[in-house]
Amino acid sequence: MRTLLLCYGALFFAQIGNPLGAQSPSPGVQGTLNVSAQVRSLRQFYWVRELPRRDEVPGQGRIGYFGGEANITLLWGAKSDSKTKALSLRPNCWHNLLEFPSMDSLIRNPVNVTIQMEIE
Amino acid sequence: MKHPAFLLVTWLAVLLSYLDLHAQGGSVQTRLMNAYRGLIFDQPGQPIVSGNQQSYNIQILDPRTLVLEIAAPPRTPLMVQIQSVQQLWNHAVSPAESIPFAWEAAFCNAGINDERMARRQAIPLDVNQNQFQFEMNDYQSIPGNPEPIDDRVKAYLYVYGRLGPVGLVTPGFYTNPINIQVWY
Repeated sequence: MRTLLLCYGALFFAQIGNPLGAQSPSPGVQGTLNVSAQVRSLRQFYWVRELPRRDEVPGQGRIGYFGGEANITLLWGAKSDSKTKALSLRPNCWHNLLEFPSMDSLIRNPVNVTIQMEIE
Repeated sequence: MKHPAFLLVTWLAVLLSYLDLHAQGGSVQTRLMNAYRGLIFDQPGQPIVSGNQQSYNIQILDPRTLVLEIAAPPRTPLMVQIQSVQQLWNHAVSPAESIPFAWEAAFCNAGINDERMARRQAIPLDVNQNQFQFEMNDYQSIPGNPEPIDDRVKAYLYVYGRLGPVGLVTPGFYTNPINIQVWY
């Protein structure tokens, strides 16, 4: 009788001792998911002539310059408005292109500054 | 010659052990709550741009976070394994290019049957911790917690993470599979 108790006791504790059950755990679910990201190109513009055509600017996107410490001022114009407008860019951050929807051309660009424009 | 009672008790013990495991296996269910669309870092207005050295985070409260629902009887012990490499790859270029990726995960086994309530109580795992065990808790009777519809309670696994910094890589589609296994 003592043998029987020992035998059953061993089986009982073997089950308790394994946190996943009495035997090897069974895979309940195995699934594969995809992680993804669409990386876009960055268009870089140094001079006014390198601005995109008007139809390439849908009014969304952003502009910025990186690597400097002080604000820079861009002068720009629009065909619909003869006045030249000034645009101040803080360094190292993006500005939404919606802030200047009628930008047709950069009139003057600071030397040695890379302006980055991204169009969606 | 073994005593007949010895054989009977031994076989009974083996049979009970098998039935217990089998019952657990048959009643554990898992499903993805936000459909099969994966963990996608793109979002309107914040495009991922080659060379900008930025990192892009999906936090646990972000709607893009993957939610895996696990339904099982209380006290069921479970083990979850998550396997993934730590890059997203663009195999359309040769040689393939990559962006660093670190997944994060959190789980809630507090006996809460509502995903949004559970999310606020989820326990984050260490970054890239790829295996953990927990036990299904009893249903928690608190206001707003839906009553279980059968003998099972729910636990939730949340998978999110960080992409980047994005170096000067070729524009294109970067992807990587994550493999999730739930063992019981």
